[in-house]
Amino acid sequence: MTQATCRSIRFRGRSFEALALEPEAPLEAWIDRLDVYLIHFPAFFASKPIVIDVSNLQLDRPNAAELVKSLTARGIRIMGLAGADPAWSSDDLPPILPRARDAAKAQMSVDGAGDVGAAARGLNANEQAAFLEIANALATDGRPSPAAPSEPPLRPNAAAPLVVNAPVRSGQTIQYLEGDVTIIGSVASGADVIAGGSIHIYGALRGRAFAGAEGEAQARIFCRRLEAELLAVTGVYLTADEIGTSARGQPVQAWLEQESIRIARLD
Amino acid sequence: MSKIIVVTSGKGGVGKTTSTAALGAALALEGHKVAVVDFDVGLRNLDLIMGAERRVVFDLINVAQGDAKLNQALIRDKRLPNLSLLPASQTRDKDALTEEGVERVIDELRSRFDWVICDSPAGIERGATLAMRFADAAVVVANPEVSSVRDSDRIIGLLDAKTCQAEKGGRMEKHLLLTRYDPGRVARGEMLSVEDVLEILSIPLLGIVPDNEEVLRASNLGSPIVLHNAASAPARAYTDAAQRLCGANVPMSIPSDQKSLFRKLFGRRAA
Repeated sequence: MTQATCRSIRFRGRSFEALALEPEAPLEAWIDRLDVYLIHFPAFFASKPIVIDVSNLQLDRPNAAELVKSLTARGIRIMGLAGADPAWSSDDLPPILPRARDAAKAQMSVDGAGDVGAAARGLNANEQAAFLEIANALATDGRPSPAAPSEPPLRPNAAAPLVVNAPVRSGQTIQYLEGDVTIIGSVASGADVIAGGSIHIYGALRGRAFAGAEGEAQARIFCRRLEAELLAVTGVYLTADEIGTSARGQPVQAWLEQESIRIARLD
Repeated sequence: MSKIIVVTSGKGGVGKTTSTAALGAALALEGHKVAVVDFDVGLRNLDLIMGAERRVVFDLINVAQGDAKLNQALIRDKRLPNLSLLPASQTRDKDALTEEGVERVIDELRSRFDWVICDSPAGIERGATLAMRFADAAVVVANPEVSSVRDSDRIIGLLDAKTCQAEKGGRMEKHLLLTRYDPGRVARGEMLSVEDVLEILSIPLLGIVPDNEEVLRASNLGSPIVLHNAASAPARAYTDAAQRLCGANVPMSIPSDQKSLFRKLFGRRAA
C-alpha cells in the first residue's frame, strides 16, 4: 500500500511496568494485613498502576469479583487481573491479562500470514492493510518484525543522549544516568553534570563533571575549555588543584586509565 | 504597555539599590511613569537612597496584606513627580510576604505605571524569589569579581526556573549591569574584564558603571546619582542603560584607564 488515502488510528502492543499485588489465602487474613499496611502508608497505592495477580489463589469468578470490589473500596484502582481464567472476562472485572507464557503462545497463533490472510478476507484493500499492520504489531509485541534480520545492539543499554541547549548555571545539576550528556554552552562554577555515559561540553567546563556515574569505565569527559573544579570518571576523581596547569584553559578530553584520570589536549 | 523589572544579583553590596534608584530616576527623567519597589523587607534601604525615609507611613507588607491602599503607601518623589517609591517594611521579615499578596500589588502597579522596578534583596531565598516572581525582565547587577559573577550566574539559573514567565514556558529577558568597574584594577589584572564576565554569564550587556566616589556621595545625600550629578560618569552610564532598556540603540563604551592615569600623573606633578 504505497498510496494510503485514509489513515487509521494507531495502536500496538507494548510492555509497561506495573505493581503486581499478590493476595494470599486465606483472603480474610490477607485483607486484614492490607488494612494495617494502609493505615501506615495510606497513599502507597494511590495513582500507581496496580495489577492483581490471583494465580496463587483458588478463586472462582464470584470470589474474584468480591476481591476486586473490596480492593476498589480501599482506594486501590486495578488496571488488570493476572492469573485469572480468560473466560471470566466481563464488564465488572478489570481486563484479564494473559500471562507471559500465554502471551508468547498468543503471539504464535497470529504469526502465520495464512491465518491473517484468512481472517482479513472479505475486507477492502485499505482495511486489509490496516488489519495486517495490527496483526503484525500484536504478533511481535510492537517490536520490529523478527523476520527482519536484527543486528545485535552494540551497547545493550544504550539510551538516547541528553542534549542541553543552554548554559548550565551555578547551582544547577544535570543528572542523566541513562547515557551520554551533551551540553551546548558552558558549565558554570558551582554546577554539576552527572552522566551514566560520557559528557560532552561545547563550551567551558568550570563546574564539576561526573562521567560513568554508574560504573561505566569507558566513559569520557570532553570540553572546549577546561576550568573544572572536579573531573570524575566512575568515582575516580581529580580536583582543580590536581589538574596540571598545562591542561587549564585548553580543549581536552579526560578518561580513566589504570585507576587514575588521564587528561589530554584535543587538538 | 507597562513593564516589571527586577534588579537582582544574588550577592549583597554590589549596587542593586543604587542601580534601582538610578535607573528609576533616569526613566522618570525620560518622561515615563515609574515606580520603584523595595523588596528588602526587614533591611530597607531604597527609601534612604531616594531621600524619602522621613515620609514612610505605609509599606509593601501593609499593601500586600490589604491593610493599606497602594495610594497611601506610594511616596511621590519631590524632584520628579512621575517617580514613586513603594518602601519595604523595616519591622517585619520576608516571611510576611505571600505570593498572592505580591501578585496583587504588582498587578495594581502594572495598571498605573509604565515601569515598575523591583529592588530585590540579596540571597536566593523567599524575598529574592518573590521579587523576581512576576517580573517581565531582569537587570542582573554584578561587580567584575569572581564571587559576584558566580552568584549572578546562580540567579540567572533561578530566573530561568522559578519565575512565572519561565514556568509558562517563556524566556525571561535578562540584562547584565556591570557596576563598580575600575579600569585601573582591570588593567592590573585585579578585576575581571568585561569580556571575562560576559563570557561566563552569556547574557546581553546593559551597561558598565564605573567605580566612582560620586555614587557614595549621592547615596549619603539621598539622591539618585542621575539627579545628584547628571554629568558624572556613573550618571551617564545609568542614563544610557535606561535608554537601552527602552530599546534605544546607544553605543557602549568600556571605561578606560586614561582619566585615572592622567589624574595620577597630574597628582604626582602637583605634589
